[in-house]
Amino acid sequence: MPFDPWRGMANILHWQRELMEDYSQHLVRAGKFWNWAVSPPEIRVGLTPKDIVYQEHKPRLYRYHSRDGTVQPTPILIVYALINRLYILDLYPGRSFIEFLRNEGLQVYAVDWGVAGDEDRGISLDYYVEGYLDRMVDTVRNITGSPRITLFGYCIGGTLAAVYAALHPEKIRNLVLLTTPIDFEAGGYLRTVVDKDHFPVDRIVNAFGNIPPWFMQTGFKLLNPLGDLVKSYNLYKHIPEEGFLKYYLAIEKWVNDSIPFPGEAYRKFIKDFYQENKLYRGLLEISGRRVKLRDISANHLTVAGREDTIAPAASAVCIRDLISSEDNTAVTLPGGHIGVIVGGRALKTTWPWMGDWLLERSA
Amino acid sequence: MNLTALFDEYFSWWQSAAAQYLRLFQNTPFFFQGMKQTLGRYLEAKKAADRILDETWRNLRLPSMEEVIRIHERLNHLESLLAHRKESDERDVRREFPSI
Repeated sequence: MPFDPWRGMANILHWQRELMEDYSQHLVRAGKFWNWAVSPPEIRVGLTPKDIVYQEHKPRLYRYHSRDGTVQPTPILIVYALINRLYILDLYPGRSFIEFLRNEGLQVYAVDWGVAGDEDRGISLDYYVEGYLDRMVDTVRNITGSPRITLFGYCIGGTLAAVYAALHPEKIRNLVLLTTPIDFEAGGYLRTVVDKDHFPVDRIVNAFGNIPPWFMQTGFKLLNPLGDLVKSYNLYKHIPEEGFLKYYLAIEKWVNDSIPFPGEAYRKFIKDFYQENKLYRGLLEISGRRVKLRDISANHLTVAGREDTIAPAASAVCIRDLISSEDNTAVTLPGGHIGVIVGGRALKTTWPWMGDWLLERSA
Repeated sequence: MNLTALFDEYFSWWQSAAAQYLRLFQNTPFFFQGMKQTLGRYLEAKKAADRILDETWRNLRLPSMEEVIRIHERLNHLESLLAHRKESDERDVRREFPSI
């Protein structure tokens, strides 16, 4: 093929233009980084207006203000995990699942477990379910006058909600579980890490009392050792996008705002749930009562994340086959443990879909 | 030739390969044994450090951390008892209060 000087020149010019475009993009990113470093934006989270309607020790029950007074009669009680903070569901206006539910006309209540202190190390998982949670459910029923409520659990909070719904089916109308592990044998690498062969949970609890956040974080880092590197790279790539930095910083704030896991509750959680898989096998006992998932008769919805490594989809959706609800749905949606409920896609698809499901069953 | 797109492609390839390699390593008995031993040594060191601290407080005629925590635990327990007592009292009051 003969050499065509004009074509060669055109190619060089094309590469030059692409290089310049690349270069200008990097300059824009550098500018954004500079702005961020010089004047970091203040990230305020958990802004949906609320009152505290019940408190015992650290755990508090919030009632979120309704938007215009007209609300569905069946209230929804959100039960969050014992690690991390509740505000992942109420990041900031426009990115708040709680705000979305409230705007849909639902009466929203949420459990904030608070930050466990050393004095809370002896509080058992049984007391979290049959003590705190039971009294909070009764408080919501008393305030709203609704005999049965919607229990909405996220992560470990979902596991606690499922246990509670099995022990008190007469109080629960709808049970919604979000990325909730039920079959811990299918719990992925987290299950492998806490195997009793190499994870001495008794010695750990005896030494620490409450399990410190850094210890829990190390476990999560093992699930994705390259996570921090990829996160930084994604930040660099997407920083020019409108709203990305605010979302990124809010999530970072939440990720680094972990709280200690109360010691005795952790001991039971690791032993009975992860190591022995007693909930799935029907052998779990809470306050001397056997927990039988078959006793759950409430309308049920489970949402699992396809890329979730903390509560893999297989460990979550199996609950569909273990309960006796007639209205019984379990779906796997795109996203990880967090992304499935606060990611960009969640706002457009998961929220409206879950909102419709709840509204149909809260009238 | 878009350099950023090229870098993206290679970064993604490298990340996937590295993640697979790490996952393989993280599933070896060698990794779990190492984790168990490291954890064991850390817990022993922590216990020893806690013992030294307790001794120090005792020598200063101050209560140890463990003693302070136990007092707080008892206060917690007392708060629970009082909270439940209050609930039952309120129910009794409502039942026995004469109507006006």
